[in-house]
Amino acid sequence: MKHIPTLFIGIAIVLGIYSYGFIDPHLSFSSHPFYLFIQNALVHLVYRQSVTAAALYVCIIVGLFAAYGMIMQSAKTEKMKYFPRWMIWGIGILLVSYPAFSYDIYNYIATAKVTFQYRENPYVMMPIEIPNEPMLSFTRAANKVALYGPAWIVLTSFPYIVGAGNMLATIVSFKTFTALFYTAVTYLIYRKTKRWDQVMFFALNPLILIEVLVSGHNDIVMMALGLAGLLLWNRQGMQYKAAGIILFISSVLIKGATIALVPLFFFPRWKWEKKMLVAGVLMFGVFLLSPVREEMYPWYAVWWLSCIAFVPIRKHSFIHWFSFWLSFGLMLRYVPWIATREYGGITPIIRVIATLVPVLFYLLYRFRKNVKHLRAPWKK
Amino acid sequence: MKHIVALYLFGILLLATPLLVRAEYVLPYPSYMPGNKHYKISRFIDKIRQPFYFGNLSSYKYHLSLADKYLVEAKTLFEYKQYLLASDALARSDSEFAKTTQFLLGARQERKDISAFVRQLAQASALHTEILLRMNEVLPPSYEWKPEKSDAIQLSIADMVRESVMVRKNAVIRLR
Repeated sequence: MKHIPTLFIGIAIVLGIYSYGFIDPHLSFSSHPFYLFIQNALVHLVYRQSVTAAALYVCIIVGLFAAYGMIMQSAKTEKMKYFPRWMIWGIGILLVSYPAFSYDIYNYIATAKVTFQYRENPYVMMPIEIPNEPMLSFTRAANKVALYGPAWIVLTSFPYIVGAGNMLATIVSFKTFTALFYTAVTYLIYRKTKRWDQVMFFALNPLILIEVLVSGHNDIVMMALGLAGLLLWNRQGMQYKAAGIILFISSVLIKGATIALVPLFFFPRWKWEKKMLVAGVLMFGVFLLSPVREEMYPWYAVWWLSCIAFVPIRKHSFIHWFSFWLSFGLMLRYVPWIATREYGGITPIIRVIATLVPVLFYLLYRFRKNVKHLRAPWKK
Repeated sequence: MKHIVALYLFGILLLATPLLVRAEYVLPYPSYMPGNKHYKISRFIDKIRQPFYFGNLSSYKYHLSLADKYLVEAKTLFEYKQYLLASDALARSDSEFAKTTQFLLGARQERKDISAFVRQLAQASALHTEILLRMNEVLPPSYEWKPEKSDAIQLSIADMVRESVMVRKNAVIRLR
């Protein structure tokens, strides 16, 4: 247990450095010769030796999940009394990493720029319609109007203003902004459960760390507001209930997925754990339906992981270990893309296999264990 | 043999020549027409949509879309000889088209690059003019509209169409 934090931080540093290999060719954050030397070496690795880069990515993911699993295992035996301070270092490292695995953060910034700099309606104007906009050279999906709800666009005004027009500062401010909501969800889990193992289950999950702190996805903002809304709704007093409704509506107006949690408002007598279990199942249902709209993106797992974290972790807890292995499988979805740099071809099918294999192995293991468990009393 | 080689070379040349693909300016399908129970709702929605299109370029898009919509409405009504209603729709289309220029000029004042939008407006103006001139060929120059319960109205359709063409031309000229 002693060396696990060191292992975790070490891998986070490797991930932070490795992420800069994915930097867009049209983007550079510094002209310092040392920075350029490192960036060129990493870009060469990622773009020219993509299979090696994919292998390195697998090593990082396996390392992170192994460390996470060990922490979760030891959390059961050793009583965790305090929040490990090394976690703050980990968060800091991941915040300054490059958003390697998704271009969504550029989309958020481009939409904020259309709204707050050009003062145009982002639901009418596409970023591509603004000629000579420097961001267009590295923004994907620039030919789409705003993809997120108005609450998100209003919220992005804060990190956009803090970024003050500097691309690096804007990326870091957007990531810091989502990190604040990651901290908020972590705090809510602690406040409601008072159990560090549940906090660690959420806060140290490599999928959460990568999708929220590295890629800066706004799903965590939606979940933070939705969960805070439900918590406030549970409290006595009209002012809390009104605040809860406002927060929950804001959450729905970010991405819409939390609309699935509306039924929970009609069961005030349910215990919080039960509510969160049902919330996890509902959000998992929306997650499973996501391919109907587009694709099962790994960051959609933030929806149900943040609900499941409120459910007490019991011995051999199925949902928590299932979440662990599914998170692992979802993080492996990036492997074929890193190896081939292709979205088409065999990439989609390998993605499905990479996601399902760890989960199926776990289900098989559970099934065998349950069969043995059933046999045991009979053997006696 | 020479002919085969020449034909082969011509074929290669033809394939190697880049094809220029131009996205034509397209008008929308006709929407609800006067008399339809959804027509008033459609007009009301057109009005309440306006604040949603904040920003000069968004407003330009809004007014151009309405200019297109009302021109198609006018064309359809003229075809059905509903001259009074058609004149009203054409006047609305003219008014919306004229507004596009002021928003593009506003965007230019904000130092936004409007060249693509100016090109789009010129295309829209050309297409509108083409439709108006085609309509002018088949429409009577003037028409006395006799409503059932009120006095007759003299509609000078040719003047109206000429006026509409001028509105479109002037809109493009103002942006030069």
